[in-house]
Amino acid sequence: MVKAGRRPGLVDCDVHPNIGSIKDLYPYLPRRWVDYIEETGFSQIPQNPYPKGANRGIRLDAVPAGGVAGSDLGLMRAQLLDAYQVEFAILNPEHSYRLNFLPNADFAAALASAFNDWLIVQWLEKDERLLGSAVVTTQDPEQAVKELKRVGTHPKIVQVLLPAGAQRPYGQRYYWPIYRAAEELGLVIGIHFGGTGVSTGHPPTPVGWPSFYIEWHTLMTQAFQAHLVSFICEGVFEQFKGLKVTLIEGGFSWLLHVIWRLDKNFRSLRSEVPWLKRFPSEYVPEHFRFTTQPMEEPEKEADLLGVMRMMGAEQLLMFASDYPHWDFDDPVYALPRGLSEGARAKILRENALSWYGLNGQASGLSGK
Amino acid sequence: MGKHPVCRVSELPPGSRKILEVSGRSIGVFNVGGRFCAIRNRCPHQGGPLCLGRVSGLVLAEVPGEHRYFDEGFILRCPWHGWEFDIRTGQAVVDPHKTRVRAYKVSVEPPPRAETYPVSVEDQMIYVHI
Repeated sequence: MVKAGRRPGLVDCDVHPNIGSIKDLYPYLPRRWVDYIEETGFSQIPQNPYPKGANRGIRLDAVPAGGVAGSDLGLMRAQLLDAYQVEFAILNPEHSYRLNFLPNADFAAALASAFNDWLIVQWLEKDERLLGSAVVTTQDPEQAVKELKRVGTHPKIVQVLLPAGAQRPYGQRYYWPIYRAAEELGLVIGIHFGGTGVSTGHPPTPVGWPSFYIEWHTLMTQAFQAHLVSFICEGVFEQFKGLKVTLIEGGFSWLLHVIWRLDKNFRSLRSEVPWLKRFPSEYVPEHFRFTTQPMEEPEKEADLLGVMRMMGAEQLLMFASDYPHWDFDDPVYALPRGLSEGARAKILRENALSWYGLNGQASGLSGK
Repeated sequence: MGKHPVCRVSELPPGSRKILEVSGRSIGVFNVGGRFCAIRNRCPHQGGPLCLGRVSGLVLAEVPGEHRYFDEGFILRCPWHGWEFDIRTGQAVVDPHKTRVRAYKVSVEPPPRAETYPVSVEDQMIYVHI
């Protein structure tokens, strides 16, 4: 079932494999934690706070017989990798990034390691098109660094996975050991939608708890804005000049508003952040990329194209499908039709290849 | 251009400023530790009365977390939005090549006076000595 269409090749920057149950992690967990799970009846990682309004959060046709969506490589091949002739798909394991909201830091770190080993063994080593994000838990940055040093040299691990929800803005020095390790290992920092209003975290918006999933989902962009501003203002990119950050599933048209406001404020408030050597906005093209899904779909496509032109989307955006979630984007239909062929090729493929240091064929992974 | 009197040195001690009207322009003259500087009293941003702003130093850093303090007294911050300007050059700290206000030369000279000559009186007669 190959979908026809003029496509210049495809890198999918956000795909979610899933464990069937917590037991799938047992082979990769120290005996102590298996016993703990069995004894306590721990069955699930802290959940996002709202019942997911649409189809329980998944594409219903992506549920394999007797399993959960994202748990079957065969179905993922049929519905995504083969169907769209995907060259590379970057896997961000379902649930894993919400380990950041387990109160027990050691348990969280052990589960993160298990997720990473499971990802490598059950997915990355089974299909040459699959690349992965190593999840780390930030309750204890030292353990996160240790984990990155352990799995970050694997040739198919290209990214460090963090949730959009956080205990504190990601630019702060608390996290810098993680960035130092990521930069040394040539790993991108990937911040993924979710994790706001979870368990030990803060309310999902600065004004507290909205009532509905539709609000929570829409306002997720606020978390991404807070992190982008924090990364820049804290001087992360003056300290780690090679660090790259991908904002996954966090929208993009807000970028204009945020950097216009930030640049304006910089003229007045520069002395608070004297380490910045450029206008805040000037750090964006070198250090940030944004994934496309969920694609913004205003009534008039021309409005979207205008915003994309103003923000330099041709350089900054990378396609993501978010398979197998309910708000999946189909690469054939998701991008505005009025986009030039050149821009389409960059967004669907070339930007991601260069950002993640990949050669254009699955068998030719370059050194990171 | 041209030379315009401001005030006597004793009237503008270090750390003080005087705002005056010259040829229809409002200009601030500052004494920064004995050095006199003059700058247009109009912020290029939104026209704020720049010379009413706070005078401070320049905070710079090589790396995040550093706070080095230079040029105390030479950085003028607009009282409206806080834009920073170097009083000596009129250049903004942010984007200095595109953002600047006019700075003027200030000199200290003896007050202007007419030439005088010694005068003497002898036998009800006044003599001038040249």
